[in-house]
Amino acid sequence: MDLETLYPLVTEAIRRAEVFDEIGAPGVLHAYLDVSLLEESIAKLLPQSDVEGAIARRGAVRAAISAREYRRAADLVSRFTAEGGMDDVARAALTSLGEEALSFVAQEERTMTARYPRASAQYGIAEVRRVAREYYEQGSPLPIY
Amino acid sequence: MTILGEMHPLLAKSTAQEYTHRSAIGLARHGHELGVRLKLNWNDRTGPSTLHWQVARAGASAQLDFHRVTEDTAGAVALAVVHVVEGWVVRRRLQRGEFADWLLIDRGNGLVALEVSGVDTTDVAGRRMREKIEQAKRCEIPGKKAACVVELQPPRSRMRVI
Repeated sequence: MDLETLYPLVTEAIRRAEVFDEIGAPGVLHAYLDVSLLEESIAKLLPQSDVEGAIARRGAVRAAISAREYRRAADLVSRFTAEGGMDDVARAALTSLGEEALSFVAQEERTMTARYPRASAQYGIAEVRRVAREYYEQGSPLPIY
Repeated sequence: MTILGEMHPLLAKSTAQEYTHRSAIGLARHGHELGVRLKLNWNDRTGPSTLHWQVARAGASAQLDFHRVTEDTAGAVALAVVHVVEGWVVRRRLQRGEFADWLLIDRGNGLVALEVSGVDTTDVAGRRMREKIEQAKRCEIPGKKAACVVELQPPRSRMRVI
């Protein structure tokens, strides 16, 4: 897809997510994830050094945080900062968003540790998370190895 | 505002129609009729202007949030004004956190970050305008920054390019 296709889509997606947010609609997290995916697609078309490319990169991360996809947000920050060609202002903005995402990841892990103390002690939260993700992604009732 | 989509080709047709529809509701709320005189203020310069829109059917506002209609009416008026006055064209919507609502380009292809706000009645003592100017100043996108407040009751549009 080109920018002429993606820009109208991201405009519409941002509006939808913000309206969902305002009224507390149940689809708000999915709506923000849509925004993040569209921003990521825009970022693939524009270099980091381009103003609009930098906006798209910040947008992909910011929307991932709004979608509570904190790991995705942190991964995007790592990927974007590794690209290079970024000025100091853009780097600082992305780093700040990355720190915000990582603080949410840590908070989530603390919550999970408190909620599942045995699993946490026996396997570690990272392992529980990995199994849960595999379970979710394979779409069947039990993990298959 | 009936040709918002043609003014801004990168607005999806459905988005432009939604803005036009909601602005019809927002303006009708104050009894304004087609061709109403818009008090236009651009960097403290004033000029005559009229607003045209497609009338919405009776009861169309029933399912719409009051404040969303106010904001979208302001958005529609602002986007029409910036195009008519300066030829600015929408690139894309910006997310919260960028301190502006819209990214546009001017006639020389320079970027413009525009923050828009709507007030159902009037902006008493210009308070909202001051807030929006401060907000737009925080936007770090290189290029021009502009703040616009649209008051639905008069109706009036005030634009400040920073």
